[in-house]
Parts: sequence; C-alpha cells; structure tokens
Amino acid sequence: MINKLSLVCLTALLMSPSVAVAGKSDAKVAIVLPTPKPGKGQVVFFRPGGMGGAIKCTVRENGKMVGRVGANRYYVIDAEPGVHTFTAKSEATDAVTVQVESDETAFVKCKITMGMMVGRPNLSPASELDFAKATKVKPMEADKIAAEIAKDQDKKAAGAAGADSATE
Amino acid sequence: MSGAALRFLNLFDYQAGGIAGGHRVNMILYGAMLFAQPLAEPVQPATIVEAPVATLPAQTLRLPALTPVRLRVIGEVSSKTHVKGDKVEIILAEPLRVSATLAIPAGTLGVAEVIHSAQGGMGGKAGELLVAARSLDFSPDLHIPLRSFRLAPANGKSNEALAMGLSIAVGVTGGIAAMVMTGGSARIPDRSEAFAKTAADVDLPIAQLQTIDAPSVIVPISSVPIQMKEEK
Repeated sequence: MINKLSLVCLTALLMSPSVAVAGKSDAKVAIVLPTPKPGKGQVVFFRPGGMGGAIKCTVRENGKMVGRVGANRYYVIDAEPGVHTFTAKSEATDAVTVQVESDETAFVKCKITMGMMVGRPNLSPASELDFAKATKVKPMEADKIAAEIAKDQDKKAAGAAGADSATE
Repeated sequence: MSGAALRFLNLFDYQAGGIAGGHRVNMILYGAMLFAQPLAEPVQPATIVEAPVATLPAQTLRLPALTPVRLRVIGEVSSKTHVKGDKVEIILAEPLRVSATLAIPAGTLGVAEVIHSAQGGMGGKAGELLVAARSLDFSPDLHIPLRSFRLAPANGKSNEALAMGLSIAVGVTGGIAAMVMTGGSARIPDRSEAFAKTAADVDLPIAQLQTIDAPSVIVPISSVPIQMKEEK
C-alpha cells in the first residue's frame, strides 16, 4: 500500500509543471573564452546559425588554413599583435582585416550568404557583444581542426612539390 | 694653517694689548671675515650664471601604458567613401589626466586608420568598416601611441534575410533579384564617441600640460547609504 502511494506521489511529482520546467530549463551558460597567452592576442571566429548550415567556413591567412567553423560553432586561434587579414572561399573569396592587440581578443563572424551555385562565406568584423549574442555556438573540436590543418598543409606541400617537379 | 688665519691671530695679539672689549668683538668679526674670504683673492660682486637650458633635467611626467582614453571621431566615416588605409581624424574628448592637476587638453588631435572596409554586396551583404586608433599628437614631435580602439564595428543594414525571403517566395526571378539586392553601407557618424588605451609609457613635458582642477573625492559605493523601500 505504501509502495503504491509512493509510486503515485512520485508520478505526480514528475508530472508537476515545476519539475517539468526544472528539467527543461538548461540554464544558458556563458561561454568562457581562454585567456590570450602573455604578449599575444587571439581571434575568435564564430558562425551563428542561418543559411548554408552544411557549408563550413574555412579561414585562411596568407593561404594557410588557420581554422574552420561550422554552423553554430566557434574556434579560437592565437595571433601575434598587429594587423591580420583572413580569407574564406567558396565560389567567391571574402576577406576581413582585424587589429589584434596583445592580451586581447578580436572577433570575426562568418556567415554564409547567397551565391550563384553555392553559399558564399562572408567574414566580417564583430564585437564581444555580437559573440555574446550568439548563445548557441559551441567550440569546434580542437583536435579535429588541428588534424584538418595538418592535412591541408600536407596537401599544399604536395601541390607545391608537384608543381616543382613539373617545372624541372 | 692658512695665511689668512695667521694674519688674524697676529692682529688679534696686537689689538689685545689695551683695547676695550667692544673693539675685541669687532676684531673677532673681522677675523671671521678673514677666515671666510682669503685676503689674497679680491672680493668679486656676486653674479648669477645661468646654466644652459639643455643641461637642465627635463621636467616631465610619465603617462603610463594602458591608460584609458576617451576619443571622438571627427567627420563621418563610411564604407562607401573610405577604403582600407585611409586616415581618420580623432580628438581627445575630455582632458586626459596625467597627475592630480595636470592633463593633456581636450581637443588634442589624433589619427586613426581604416583597417577594413567593404561595401555592401550581392545577396544583401552589408557594408563593413573597422577603424583602429593610431596616435594622439601631443606636439609635432611627440606622439602618444594608441591601441585597443573600441567603437562597435560598424556594419551596414543587412538585407540578407530579405534577399533570402525574396528568393524563396518568388523562385528563380526572385532569386536573381535577391542576388542583385545589396546591403546598406556601414557608417560611423561624425562626433561618434570611442575609447582607446595608450600603447606605451610616454614622458610628457610638464610645461605643455594643462592645469586642471584636482579630482573631487570619490565616495565609495559601499559608503553610500542604501534606501530601503518599506514593504507595505
């Protein structure tokens, strides 16, 4: 009898709105970014959701891949203080130039806009406030990106070696 | 013993024979004068020799790095009219205090630079503009380097959502129209307020600083009585 009563109480408790709300409300946790390394700055690339969810925004500096962000993702890179120009390319190339300061974080937003055949990446300068508004973004897997960067470098090196052998 | 001192002692012995006490005092004073100024050297009238200005230590005050600076942008800056590398005029919005009573005067001119500018593009892409402060020109020879310029990155009106909606609603024709649709240009209005920090320690000549009132006493927030509302 007591067991049955307990079961009824438990069921009632589980079905009560307060419990339902408590279970549903995953309190939004503010994103805590890493602190820049001493004497260096960092750049956060982030991509709030929207169109072109399947397209990844591959970010390069001087042709070298530095990071990649998918929909609702962000990625942080270390950077030397100074002016940096980053590019992203699909059927068209877009570029953004940001000023990196030591011990500070710069923000770059990547959006995919309409293109003729595929979406076009659009890199634009952003602020910390813009990043704070993108509450759904999650970090890219650093290991995965590091592997992709290494693969990209190998591919570029192989391409350069192929070009050299063709000219010889 | 110096010649002057010996002369004094001889003179004193000579006078000590039968001269009244008052004269002795005079003699002592005279002796003191002799000690102070050797007789061999003629007394020269005192003259003030001014040291050359260059040899004086410079009277300066140090403005430390990372001091917050309040600025104002002069003239409108737009992604339509400005390109990367363009210089932008800025001024000090309020006196920059270097000590309790000395400051760099408000209105001191400075230079900022457009480091990113992109016009609105196809598909409703908004214009973009990013400016970085470079320096405050304290004098023709003395520039205070600036960093950490904070002015919300100016982005123009984005028509991406409208372009996307048009493309979906009207199909192929709408899609072409959406591709042609461009976003608004980014602009920083004239007199926009901005913030920066000094990028390095700078020694400023005191003579060129402006005298200002000492800061008023700041009352800590904790000491301000909090008025509680009475619950009814």
